[in-house]
Amino acid sequence: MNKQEFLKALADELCDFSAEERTQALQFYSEYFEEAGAENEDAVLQELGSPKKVAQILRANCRDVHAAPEAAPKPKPQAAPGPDAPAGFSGPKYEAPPEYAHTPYDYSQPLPRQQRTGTAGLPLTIILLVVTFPIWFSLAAALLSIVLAVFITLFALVIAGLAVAGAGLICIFSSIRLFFLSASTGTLMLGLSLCSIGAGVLMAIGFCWCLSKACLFIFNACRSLWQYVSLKVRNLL
Amino acid sequence: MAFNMGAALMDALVLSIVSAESTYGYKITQDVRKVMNVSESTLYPVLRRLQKEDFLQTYDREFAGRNRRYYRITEKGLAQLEVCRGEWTEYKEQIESVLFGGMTHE
Repeated sequence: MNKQEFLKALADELCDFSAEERTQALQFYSEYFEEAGAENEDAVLQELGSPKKVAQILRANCRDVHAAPEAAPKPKPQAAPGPDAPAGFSGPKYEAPPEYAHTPYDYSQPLPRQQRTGTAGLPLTIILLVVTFPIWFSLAAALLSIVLAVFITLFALVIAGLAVAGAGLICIFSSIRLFFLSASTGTLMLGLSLCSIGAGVLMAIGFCWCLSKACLFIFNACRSLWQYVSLKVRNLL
Repeated sequence: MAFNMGAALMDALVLSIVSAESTYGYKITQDVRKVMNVSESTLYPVLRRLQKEDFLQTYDREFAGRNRRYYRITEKGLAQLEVCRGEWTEYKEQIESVLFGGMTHE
């Protein structure tokens, strides 16, 4: 499961909440993921557990809040019912709501492992991968070739830009020589060579920028793919 | 050994953290988790409840091109925090008198 799936599942789980509550909750968790950063997305997902569990905890607390206006002024008869509502802490506002008390706040309790989603899991996935090998492999190869072609083209264009600039530079010298033959031709040549240099440099810079953006894009795509794959694998183990 | 963490204590800790400095959800969670090993899904319900009971207020600030929701403690929240601190001190003394002082029930 990734962040988007988690948030969508959580939204579904909170269907019985008011729109306001749902929006607030989703905004909180969405911001939480953003703060943690893309690199911590998996760790956060693991920590939060299933959307179902999160919704459950939310439900346990929000129900208490809705009941609060009536519950608060009523003085509770017994003072110290259990281990987590000690004498000093159990005014009417402070009774730990029963559902809340069950959520694991213990220091030493290990956080629950994420549930296995299916029973078939890893062996089935491996078999599927092997069987469909011709399909995904050729697709991957084609994709890789396209990416490679794009990179080569961009790189060639950068070189072309440099070549144009270089040509312009050389022509400056010719233009100086030409100047002595005919002033107008010399000036023309000078102008053209300067234009060449400018255009060439712009081209080179422009396509360098394109190249770097493409690199970044490919890098991020690979990273997301890797995270997706490793999360899926971890879920199956 | 685990000492069970009640809702009241959670509230008190969160109020205290926010009273020291108005801050955002993620940071509050990390601060609480420095002290105790709670799941990250525990904090939002606490914050939401404290907000509904008017102990905390929220305001939005932009940060690095995205929105951040900050929490700020209210007057009511500060009062509540003082009550919590008093009650905790009392509770702590009661426990410690038994835990360290031996059973001196009259």
